This record gives sequence, structure tokens and C-alpha cells, in this order.
Amino acid sequence: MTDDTQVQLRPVAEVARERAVEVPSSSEAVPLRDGGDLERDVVARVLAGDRRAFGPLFERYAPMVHGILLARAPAGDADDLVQDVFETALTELATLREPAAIGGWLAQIARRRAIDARRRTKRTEPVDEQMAEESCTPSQRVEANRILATIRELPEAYRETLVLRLVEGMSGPQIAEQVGLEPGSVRVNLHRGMKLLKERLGIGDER
Amino acid sequence: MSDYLFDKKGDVDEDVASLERALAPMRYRRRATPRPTPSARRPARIVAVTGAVVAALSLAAAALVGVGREAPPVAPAPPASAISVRALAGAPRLRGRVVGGRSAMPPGAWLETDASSRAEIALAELGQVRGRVVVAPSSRVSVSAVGHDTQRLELERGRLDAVVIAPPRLFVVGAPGGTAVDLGCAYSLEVVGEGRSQLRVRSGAVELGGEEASSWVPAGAVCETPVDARRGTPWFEDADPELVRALRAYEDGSDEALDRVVALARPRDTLTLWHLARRVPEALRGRVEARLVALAPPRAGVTTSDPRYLDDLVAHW
Repeated sequence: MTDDTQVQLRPVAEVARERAVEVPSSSEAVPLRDGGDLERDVVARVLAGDRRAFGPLFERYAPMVHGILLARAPAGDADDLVQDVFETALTELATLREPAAIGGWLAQIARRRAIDARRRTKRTEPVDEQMAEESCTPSQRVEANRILATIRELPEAYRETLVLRLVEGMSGPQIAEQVGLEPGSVRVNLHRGMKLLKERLGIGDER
Repeated sequence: MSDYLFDKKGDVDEDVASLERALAPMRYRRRATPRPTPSARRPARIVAVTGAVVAALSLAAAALVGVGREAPPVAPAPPASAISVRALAGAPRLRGRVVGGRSAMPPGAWLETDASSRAEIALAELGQVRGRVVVAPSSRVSVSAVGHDTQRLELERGRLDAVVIAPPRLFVVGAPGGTAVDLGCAYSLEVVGEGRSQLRVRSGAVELGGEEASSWVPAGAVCETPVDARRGTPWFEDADPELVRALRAYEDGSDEALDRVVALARPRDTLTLWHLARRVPEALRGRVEARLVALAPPRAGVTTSDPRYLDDLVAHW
């Protein structure tokens, strides 16, 4: 028997320790500043050799990266791929031209990783294998998987935005800021995507 | 004009809100503890089964937790956000002092029970964590971490019985030879020798990890540390004693004993065979795999390394 279905990735905390990246505990406030100040500070510090400075960026952008992976990657891989994305970001940080645009840059890395993962995977993709939070009940899990599977079947433009809004709990303005989109585009994608989603789920006014 | 879907402000759109609630289990959540090594990682599908077990046993666990609440705490009671301890019998000692009423048990402080004393540790009520740990006589336990992400105890000697209601992986106990990671369960962990501990799971499941591998131990099963490429395979308590003896012999270095394990295995013992199949040397793997497949044939299109196979195996457990 082989373990070929198991992705040999290590936990984020482990990677962070090895790379001396500080990942703050959930009780620590993540500084949120407008205008990309945080991003510029952090990128400058990391490039100057202070890799521990990357922690706040991880904390801030991990849900967005996770959401993008959840919308595109093979079922069950999103959690592990988050760490992969941040490893890549640390490695390639010097290629980032505009630190304030790091959100969009991370989103691109996440999309690439999702595509790589889909190519790599040999198995078919039963959506009911998606890793839901382990403490939820089986019926909650089934329902969450059903809805996520429906979202993943929507046109690409709506898929990612809806996952970020409905799964990760980000607001439209946050999505726009972090992914690097115009707020108007996010609004349109959310509303059109939601309309399609409700139709396909058979809920609300669209029934 | 407010637009709940876009900016999450104004009147809540009930359709949107219900989808948010339904999808919340998928939300990103930073892991509290490292995952098991890849050689023994439990595939995603088994998590669903564990979830079912956890849900089914939550009420029973809650009842057990309630057992420890009959004695009123002595003022000033420690805050619920702290791990605390109280005496159940005799005179357990915390930092060398006899434990009176309920006392805070800070990280680094050692709790010791003598041959006639027992104590109860209450986990910090942080987030969704609720749990009680009874420390048996002649034991030594400390707290090494307490926070929203992890509550961790260290068992140096003796035994503890834990009943925990918490999101999986938030409660961890370090013991000689390994680490027990709670997956929503009730279990006993006992130090049985130098560098060796024994885990018995009463409900739910526990992941018992070592430096090289880890085992998934469901209710009714036993597992001992160290857990590595040869040792730490779980077995069910109702397995044929001869199978258990053979398993121990194999772990002690006898490849021949593996044939007895294979021959004596019942469908329920696919727990043992499944772990063995992932660990035994290549030369021995075929016979284990053959018996595993004979006892629990995979469905069409499913291999034994497929996560879906594990879901089917659980039906035998």
C-alpha cells in the first residue's frame, strides 16, 4: 500500500518556526492600516532580513488565500496549500514590485498553486471529501459540502468572490482591497453570483 | 443604501445569512497543533466519521463532565480562563503544597498525587473547550500550555482519565514516548514503563503521535508508545489475546509473528491491519494487504490507499 493520496506538506506553524517567521496567536491584534503601510513596512523588513516580520501579513491574508484555494483547488487540499502559498511568497518576495499590491500577488500565487494541485492530483474530485471543520456535525458537513460544490460549479468570475464572502466572511470592500479588484466589480460579481447560486440551490426569490 | 451581501451592513439578508451559517465549517482556521507525520496521516474522509462519533458522544461526555461538579469551589475561585485543580481524594500537592479548594494551575506547576490521593483538573474554558481530567493516584502532571489554540498537559508518571468536549486537536497531553491529541473523546493515558505510555480510548478518537509516525485510535482501542515504523499499532481491547501477543512480538522484532497477527485478525481488526499495512517493510506488506482486502474488500474503483476505503473500514470497527 502506498501513501500516494497523501500530500506531504507540513503544518504552517512548523514551516513558520523553521523560517523564523512569527505567526502571532489568535488573541493578538493584527494591525490593519489603510494605504498599504503595513505591507510596505513588512516587505521592507523581510527583505532586510527580518523574516519574523512576515507574521502579520500571514495573519491578515491567510483567510483570503484559503478562500481562493477553496474555490479552485482539489477537495481537501486547501488547508495544506495555504502554507505552500506563503512559503512561495517568502521565497519570491524580492520579485514583488509594489508591496501595497501584495494581496493581489498572493492571490495569483494561490491561483497558480490551485492549478498545479489540480494537475498533480490523480484522483477524481468527489466534492464530499472537502475538509470541513472537524467539529461540525455530519449533517452540517454534508450541507456545507453541497453548497460549496454548487459554488465551485459557477462561472469562475463568481466562484472566488462568493467563497471569500460566504465562507471566509470577508466583506465586499475587504475582498476588493485584498485581492486587488475594483469594489464595483466585486459588488457585481457578488450579486450575479448569488443570483445564480440561489437559482441552483433552489432558495429565496429565485426559486 | 446598505447592501448586506456586499458590505455586511444594514438589514440582514436572510438567504445570505443562512448560507454564511451553512458554510462556516469551511472557514479558514489556523491549526492548533502539527498534523501527524504523512506516513500515518488520517485522510480527510475519516474526519467525517470522527465528527459523527464526536457528535454522538457529546451528550455522554457532557454527563461525565458534570460528575465532577458536586463540590463547591472554595473562594476565591480561579477564573474560568485558567486551568484549575481540586482534590478528589487524599492530599494531592501542587508545587509541593496541599491542594485545598479549587486552585489555579499555571503553566510549569507540577501536580502530584500520592498512593491515596486523586485530583481533578478542569481545563480552561476558552472558546469551545470544556473538559475534566482526573489524575489517578501516584501520578505527576503539569500544564505546559494554555491558550485559545492549545491546552496541553504533560504526564510524567501515573495515569489520567480525560473527558474533553472541544474542537479536535485543541487538547493535547504529552507523555513518555508520544503525544495524545484529542479528537473529541474520553480516554485514559497511563505511563507503563520508561519511555512508554498506554492509551485507552473510551469514546471518540485520539491521535497518538510519536516523532516518526502517529496512530489513529478510536473508541474501544488501545495503543502504546513509542509510535514509529515498527511500533505503536493500535488494537481493539476485544481482540484475540493471541493476536495482541503476536503484535507485541512483531513490534519486538519478530517478523514471523506478523503471520499470526494476520491469521487471527477479524474484520474489526482491520484497524490493526490498516495501520500495519502502512508501516511494515515492503517485503511483508503483501500478506498484510491481502488479509486486509480479504476481510474488507474495497468497493469498485476504490483502492486501499483511498480515503474512501477508510470510511468503509470504520463500518467494521
